[in-house]
Amino acid sequence: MTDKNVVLDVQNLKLYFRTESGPVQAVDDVSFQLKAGHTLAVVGESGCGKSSLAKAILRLLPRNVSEYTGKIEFDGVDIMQYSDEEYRRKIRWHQIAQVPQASMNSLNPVIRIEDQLIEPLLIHDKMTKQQARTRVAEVFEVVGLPVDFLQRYPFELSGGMRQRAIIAMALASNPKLVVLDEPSSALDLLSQANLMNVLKRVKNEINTTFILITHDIGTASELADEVAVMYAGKMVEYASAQYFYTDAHHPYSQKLMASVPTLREDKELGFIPGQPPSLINPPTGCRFAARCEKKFEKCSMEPPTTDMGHGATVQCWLFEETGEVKNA
Amino acid sequence: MQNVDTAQVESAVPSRRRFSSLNRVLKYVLVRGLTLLVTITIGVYLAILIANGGGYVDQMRIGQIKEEIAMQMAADQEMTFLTMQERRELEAARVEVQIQQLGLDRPFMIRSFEYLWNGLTLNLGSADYLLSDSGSRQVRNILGERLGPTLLLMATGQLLLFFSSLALGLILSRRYGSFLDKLIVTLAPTSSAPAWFYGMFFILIFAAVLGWLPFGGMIDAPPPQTTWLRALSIMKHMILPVSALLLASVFSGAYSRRTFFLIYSSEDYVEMAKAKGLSDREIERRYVLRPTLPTIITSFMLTIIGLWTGAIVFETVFNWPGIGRLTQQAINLFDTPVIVATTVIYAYLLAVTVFLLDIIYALVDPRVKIGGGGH
Repeated sequence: MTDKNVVLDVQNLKLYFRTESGPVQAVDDVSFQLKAGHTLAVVGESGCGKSSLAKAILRLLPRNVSEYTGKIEFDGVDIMQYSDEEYRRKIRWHQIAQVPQASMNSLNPVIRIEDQLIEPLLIHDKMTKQQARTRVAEVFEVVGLPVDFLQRYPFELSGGMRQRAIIAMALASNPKLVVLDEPSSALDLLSQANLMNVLKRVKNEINTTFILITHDIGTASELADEVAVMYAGKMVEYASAQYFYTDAHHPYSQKLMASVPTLREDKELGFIPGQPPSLINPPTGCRFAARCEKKFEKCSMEPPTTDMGHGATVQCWLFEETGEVKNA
Repeated sequence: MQNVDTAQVESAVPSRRRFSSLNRVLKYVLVRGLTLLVTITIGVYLAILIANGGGYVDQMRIGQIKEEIAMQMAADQEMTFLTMQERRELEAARVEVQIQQLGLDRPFMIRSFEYLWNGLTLNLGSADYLLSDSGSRQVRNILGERLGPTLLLMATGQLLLFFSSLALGLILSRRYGSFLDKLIVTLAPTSSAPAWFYGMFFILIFAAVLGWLPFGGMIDAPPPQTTWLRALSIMKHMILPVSALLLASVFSGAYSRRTFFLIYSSEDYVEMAKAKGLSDREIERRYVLRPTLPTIITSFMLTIIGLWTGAIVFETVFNWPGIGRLTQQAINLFDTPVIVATTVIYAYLLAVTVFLLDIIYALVDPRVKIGGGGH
């Protein structure tokens, strides 16, 4: 637990939203640790709480939050204890930055790109305008954008360029952690490939920790050191990419992997029948049970988190015997 | 040499671009100006047709002239010496002269275009019945006299309303779901009643029952001697109408602004600004207010030209000597030159505003380019 390399330690994180028909348990009791310089890919179907997990870490909460508890230890400090103002001053952007899902609309349409990019540097790093401009020009080159595009307005850039401009903005203040929330989902295939190349290069050049939220398990494999699988608000499996891509444990993870097309093998693509359960009144016990082929009696009870070795954990009754049960 | 040549070519490019953008703006101004002129012409012509009842007002005037002359002649002692036949001829001749003087003998359709030309060239002519307080028949003088009071009352009321609902809307959008927010939202439907409705109650309470403030009018009669006291008296007369105006619209105004700001606050770039760690004030200034500036400017400009027209019932209730009451008097008397003149001036103001807005948009919003399509 006191590993010095751990930059982010999330324990029992819960994020519930209030709705008319009851609380939505978007992130329910999620715990994981992330080492500095590693990239964690969070995968899962739509609506399983991936983006909510990002929002909870970034503390970008909508107004209808009903429960937001747990521990987020960042760099050894429990940042959940911070007040909003403290969080803004100490954490936002220069410690944890984000690349949002809707990057098309994440730049203010009436302000020049350069002025938007230098803002955090002026506020948090107390740079002069000139220093900030130089720094921003540097990262613009890192993400492969022409420096003179800084003088443009967002609408004068294509979607892929805007996405890269935001990545540049995230990198400009050297944050320890960057949360990428489906950075490529709004782009066409070529721009996606381009963006992944940029991210790979950035990852190699700059020693930053990334959390990559995606439903594209295939592309995630190019970047991920660790993979976390979310299902219905729970983190059902957490494993290093090395083991996950060859030997996923959780039946849901296996099904997910079976649904990924591969280039060299000629395999029949699998699919998972049904839909994820509603997060308003999730089923008791294992939330995947209804769609699981390996369901047995015990699945009606809350599955334990089992340690599978190599830092991998899985929440499934199947591994009660094989692994070491952490909590029942 | 090669280098010098390229340098010259490069420096020539921006100037050519500047020239083409000047060209584009000029072309735009011309086209837009002409379009607006056509719109004004159609609008004013429609107003002329309606104000003249499609020519029916002519019949009424001719009837009126006949009646007046018959009455005059009946009252004239000398007429008793004439025979019935002679009297009829004389009467017909006098009526004819009057009709010719007013040009009523020519078809209305032809005259309507003369009216149109006169209106468009701001040759407002003289009123049929109304007089200015100084006794002038000139529509120009009549309007000029009434414009001041209307601008004073409406500008005070509307500008207060505009800025207070803007500020209140911003405050509410910050405190979404708070008690104040719920209160204002609940009160918003009270704006379905017009200002004069509240005005009547205000007059009843504060003038009739409590006797604190005057019933109406613009100044005490007789007017106080010193300028200072006169100003004070006018202010006292403005309290009730201005508060009626505010009460009638501030809640719905604040409500709609609040919703507007809430919608713009949920834009992705606002959340991004929050993630960047900007302070709430900075976010509000640069990421909410700045992008919504064009919309706010539009409603401000429309408020400004709305001031000019006054409010017919409102001014009548408060007995305020402004354009609104003038319009009401003119409509009652079928005083078409006055009605047409107010329409013409309003049309011009509206056109100029729309024209200016197009240019202001291009200045405040980089996405808008005058004339469009240019690079």
